[in-house]
Amino acid sequence: MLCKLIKSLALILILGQSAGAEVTPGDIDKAFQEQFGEVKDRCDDRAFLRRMTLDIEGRIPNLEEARAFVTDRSSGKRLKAIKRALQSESSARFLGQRFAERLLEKNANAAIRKLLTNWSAQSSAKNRSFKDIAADLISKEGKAGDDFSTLFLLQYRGNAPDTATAVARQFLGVSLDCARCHDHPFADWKQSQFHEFAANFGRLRVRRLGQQQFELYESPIGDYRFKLNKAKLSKPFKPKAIDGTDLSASPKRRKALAKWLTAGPKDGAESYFARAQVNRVFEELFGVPLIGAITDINAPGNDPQLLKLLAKAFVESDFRLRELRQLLLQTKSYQRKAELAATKDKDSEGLPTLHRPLRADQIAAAFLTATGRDKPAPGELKFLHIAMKRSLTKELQDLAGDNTKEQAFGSSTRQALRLINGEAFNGLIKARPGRILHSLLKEVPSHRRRLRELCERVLMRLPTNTELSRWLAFIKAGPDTKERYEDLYWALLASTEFACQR
Amino acid sequence: MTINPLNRRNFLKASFGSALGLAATRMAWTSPDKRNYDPDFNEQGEFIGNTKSGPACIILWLQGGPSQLETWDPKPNHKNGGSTKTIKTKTPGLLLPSAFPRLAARSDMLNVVRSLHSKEGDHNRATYFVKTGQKPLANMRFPTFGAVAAYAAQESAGEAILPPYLRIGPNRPGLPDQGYLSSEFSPFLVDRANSRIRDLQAPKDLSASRQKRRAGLLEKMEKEYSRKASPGLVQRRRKAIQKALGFRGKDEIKAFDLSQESARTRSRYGQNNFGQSCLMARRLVENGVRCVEVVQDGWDTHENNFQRTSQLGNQLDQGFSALLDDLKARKMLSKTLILCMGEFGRTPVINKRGGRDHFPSVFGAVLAGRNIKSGVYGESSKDGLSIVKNPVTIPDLFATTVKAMGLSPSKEFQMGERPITLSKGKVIKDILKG
Repeated sequence: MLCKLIKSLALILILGQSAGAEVTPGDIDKAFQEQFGEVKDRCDDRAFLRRMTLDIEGRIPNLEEARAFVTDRSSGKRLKAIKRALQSESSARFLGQRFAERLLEKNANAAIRKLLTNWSAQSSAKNRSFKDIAADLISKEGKAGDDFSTLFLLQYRGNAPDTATAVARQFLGVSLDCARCHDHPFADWKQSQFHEFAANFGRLRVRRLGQQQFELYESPIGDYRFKLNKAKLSKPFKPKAIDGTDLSASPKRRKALAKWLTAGPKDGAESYFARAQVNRVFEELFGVPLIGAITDINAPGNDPQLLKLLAKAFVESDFRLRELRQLLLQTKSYQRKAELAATKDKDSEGLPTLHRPLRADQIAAAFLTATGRDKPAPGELKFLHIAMKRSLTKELQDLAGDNTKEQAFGSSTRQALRLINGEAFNGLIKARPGRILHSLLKEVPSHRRRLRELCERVLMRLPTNTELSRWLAFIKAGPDTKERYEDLYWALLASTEFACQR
Repeated sequence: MTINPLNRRNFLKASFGSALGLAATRMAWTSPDKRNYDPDFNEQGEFIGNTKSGPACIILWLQGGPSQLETWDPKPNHKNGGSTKTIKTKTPGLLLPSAFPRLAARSDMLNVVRSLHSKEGDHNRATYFVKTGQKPLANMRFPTFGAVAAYAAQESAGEAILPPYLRIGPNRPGLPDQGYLSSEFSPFLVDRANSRIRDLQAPKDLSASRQKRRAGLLEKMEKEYSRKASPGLVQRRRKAIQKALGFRGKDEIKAFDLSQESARTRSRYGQNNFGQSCLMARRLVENGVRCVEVVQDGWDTHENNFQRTSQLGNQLDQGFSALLDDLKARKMLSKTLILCMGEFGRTPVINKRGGRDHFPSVFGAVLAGRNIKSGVYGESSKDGLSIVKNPVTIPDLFATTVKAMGLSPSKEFQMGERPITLSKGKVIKDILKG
């Protein structure tokens, strides 16, 4: 008891101390520019709102939101918008989905997929400390139905090497795949290190209770060995952390490992754990990892200042992802103006590109918003609207398939056909009562204003003068005005610009 | 036999495989004398086979894990064989179940592999493994054999109007796809052969001229955006959209329309989803599709194995045989590889519910067509529980089929800084011709 009290007092002291030197967005910008190059300007309000809403809520803002944001003259409106987005229900769902995706194996079955995704969305909504989330995922025991966090490890069915590789990838940001079989000449890890790490899961067992019912538990005894060949087993391995810390003293091996994760110099800011998570969040928002690859980061010690600062901030916020995201979203680096990147080749140093394909769920949400179908139309029953939304989302997503694929919607023939010929899609852009184009033609008097509004609604930017005069010429070129508007609306929605983050 | 040197066939033959192949095909099809030709006969009225098709592959995917004992490796003299009766075939020493009378009569076209083995007994994991020939890796997406076959065929024969790779069967998330190959090799999904293919035709009120107008507007936007974003990103989409627009009004899309076939042909393939899918696969390959995967679902026979496999077997026998006959008659069998298999086999020991459970330790596959020798490869023990001769791993089978498609399995693809070898499996020379 006393021990606990002293511990928490010490924690308060540490936190109190570090509060004085809190990491600010300005610090991050300075370090960002040192690493990537000069950031000239912030982007305009519309570009910021689109970028941020897509990254955090997985959707684009609608016209009304965008206009309210642009006309808002209050200072600190961007921060206000960031906070609102981070606390929204849609962000819990979207970020939860993203987190679940990384935890799920490619071939995970539908039931596991759904349950783990819900669990992850709840964790995200509560803004739980990532330290606790990781501890749950690594060390929870019990029936799958009692605590869905066990589903992560259940995927590996008690296979210690598989589990170890996954845990290392997820929580340490390192890939042990090569070390599993041999001492790779270029890899950082030796085979013996792999097996010592895998020994942490050597007593992990999965019991089948019935059809699709499993229980995860820890056997009190047993040594971890691996098969050398058909007849021979290796010597037993003691459980160790990846840095060689001996974890064999603790009776609960996985608990000891979870605890070790966030230990380390500077309260864990120099641990693999904090650095790996920061690297991931940075990649989520900037499109590139800060160091190495997401699952292949270097040993601590030689990190760029930017990573050090972010890891420090992450630890100071008690490993909360929401605070980390908020810090990054506020920076000028995140809010920078989209550059012309045409001549820069891929490998050269410089600012990471802002243009990257939207995920399947983002694109589905963007279609709904850009066609005004994100909310019920006047007089439309709510349940009918929900059903429509679901079927349309499914229609767009079943073609986009896996969210994690790095291709813009429309890159496959099947998707392109749906854009061109799809009935639901073509229906949405028609100028008939209840649809966007119908009210646009009825309520907005001039072509010029209509075209500006259409562009603003779909691409969340105003048209350039060249575009405007080209489109005006197109609209006026024939008597079939309504059809011409439909065609232009179609082209905007089918454009790569619409299908990309930028 | 004298053939007019300006005959379209010869012209095509000469340009076949060259970079001009595609352009030539299009020119030939739009030439004014098109109607004077029946595509399958020359001027002398001799049958010369289909020429629009190139190298191709048809995969008959038996989803759920077909029992090897009720398909390619029956055990009539052992209690594990159950009630499955067998019949003799054209191939010496090869017995097939009595549900396969037609295939038995055509066994000289088949190579039956009886000694496949893996360790994956979970549907999803095994499907991934068998289709890609690779264990799942977190940081790598591998292409399916179908995508690789389409890639190989396109490499040698050029691009056609229809997409290179199609899958006929129910879709579900998590299935492997083109992996690291270009998105043009992503599978074009068709749910069922008998239903209308969605999005293939433009909506009735959307004229060709309006679609052209739309494409023109889009093209300008794309050009401008490609100056800002990565040009490669825009280029992939432009290509896909142009391909999709190119379908409009083309003869090739009739390949999807089974009503073009006579009632007799349709019933020859079997009036069921699998049979009609086989027919569609033939029509697609005839029209330049490089790889078609046909899914026959229902092989997960934990219960009532014998009745269910005999029904499925009847359908398989009929569809597969009709496909072999038609490809042969069109002189396409030597160009088209057929691979028939599922994700794993089933337990030789029959369970209490008259079913068989998952069993990856011994199972089978059948190959036919392009570069495939007829025969039997590998052997399982009398009780079917183990392999006694020539075991074949999944990567070996993958490498062998890649080789049959004319591509070297050791071909390397560059993934960033990392070279990836297509397959590290061993090619089994005894299955392949010369």
